[in-house]
Amino acid sequence: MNSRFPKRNSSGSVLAELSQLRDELRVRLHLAGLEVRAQWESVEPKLLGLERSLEQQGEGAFEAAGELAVEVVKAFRDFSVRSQEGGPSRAPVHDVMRVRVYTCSPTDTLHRAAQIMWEKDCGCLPVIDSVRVVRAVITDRDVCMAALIQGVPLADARVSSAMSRSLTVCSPDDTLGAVEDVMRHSQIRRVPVVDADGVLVGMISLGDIARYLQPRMQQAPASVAQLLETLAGISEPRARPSVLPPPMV
Amino acid sequence: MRIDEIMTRNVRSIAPDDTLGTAAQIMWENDCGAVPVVEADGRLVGIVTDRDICMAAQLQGSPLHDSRVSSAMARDVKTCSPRDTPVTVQAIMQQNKIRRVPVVDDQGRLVGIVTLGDFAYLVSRNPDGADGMTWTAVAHTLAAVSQPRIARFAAGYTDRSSGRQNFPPNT
Repeated sequence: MNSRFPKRNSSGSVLAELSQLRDELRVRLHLAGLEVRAQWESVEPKLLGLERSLEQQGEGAFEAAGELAVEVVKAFRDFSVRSQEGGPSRAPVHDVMRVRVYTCSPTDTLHRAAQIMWEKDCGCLPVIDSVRVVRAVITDRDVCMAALIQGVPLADARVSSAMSRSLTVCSPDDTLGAVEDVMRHSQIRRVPVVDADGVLVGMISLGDIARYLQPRMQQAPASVAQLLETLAGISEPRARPSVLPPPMV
Repeated sequence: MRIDEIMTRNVRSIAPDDTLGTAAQIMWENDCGAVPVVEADGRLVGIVTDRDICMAAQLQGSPLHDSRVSSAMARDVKTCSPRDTPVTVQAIMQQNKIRRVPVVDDQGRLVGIVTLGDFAYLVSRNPDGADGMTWTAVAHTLAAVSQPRIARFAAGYTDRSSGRQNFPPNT
């Protein structure tokens, strides 16, 4: 008999194990998407076939059914792995985002923005208006480059002069996988989370996703692969800036 | 595999007496967030990041071309050798919660730099793992370097800004 087959001396206990595994997987199916359901429909009939074959031929036929049993066990194990792989990347942003987010306004000075970044140990602030609608983000790098280009003390420059001009946001209902696509595409690692009116509800970073995946990595190789693709994509050098800053004063 | 097979060579560096304006200009031109600081003989003495410059501009309140690199750089720099393996360097990143490691020769002279992004790229192109380097190891390192500094203090990790005498403690 194939050595990969679990060491059991009775086909009954193998069947019991498979049945238990099937029940667990059925529960998990309720949480899974259509893709996994389709996979399930190709796997479940194999166990039914095995059960029927053993019923008809009795205990003694177990050796004969050995190859079929090996196939069924392998199919179930593969399915078990794959059905979990979709898991972490399909989790919604609101399960992972940070809700305590420090912000600034377009009229704040860069000195104030940098002070918040220093005190709160963060590198990126959403820039919001009076009704908390996100207008832009500003990073420590933006402040650094504004200080270079404008050549003035940070107290003499406004956030509006340094903040990003294009804004990328996501919804709390987006999946982690979708947000990672956005990060990879825009080469950003931090994305504000806004509601349907554009009002700030949180912030999510690639690091937040990494920490969310951490306890689940062994069961979710596909999610880990996607995470690293995203990190590699973000880290790739952008095209050289076409416009150089004006010479320093 | 050795680090010098994947590191970035010809890294732009800067002298401790140069200004933060020059450092920021190099970051702008090279689309990078960190510049190694080297003495005239090529020895690495520090590293300065865009965040360091932002914070120095805030704390010192002066234009960037009035501040020296030495006033903002981190002096306690974790480095590696060109002969180290990716696995070793990835462990250095994970332990020290850093995403960039300058590569220095036996005399301490800068020869390159390697980042966590380089490792992510490496394993992304080698699905079965690259020379002992696994997907999960790199992902764990990403999680570690992304940990907020306050949590790192609580967990007893040392902070790399401790090498900066001119920075007040985070209050």
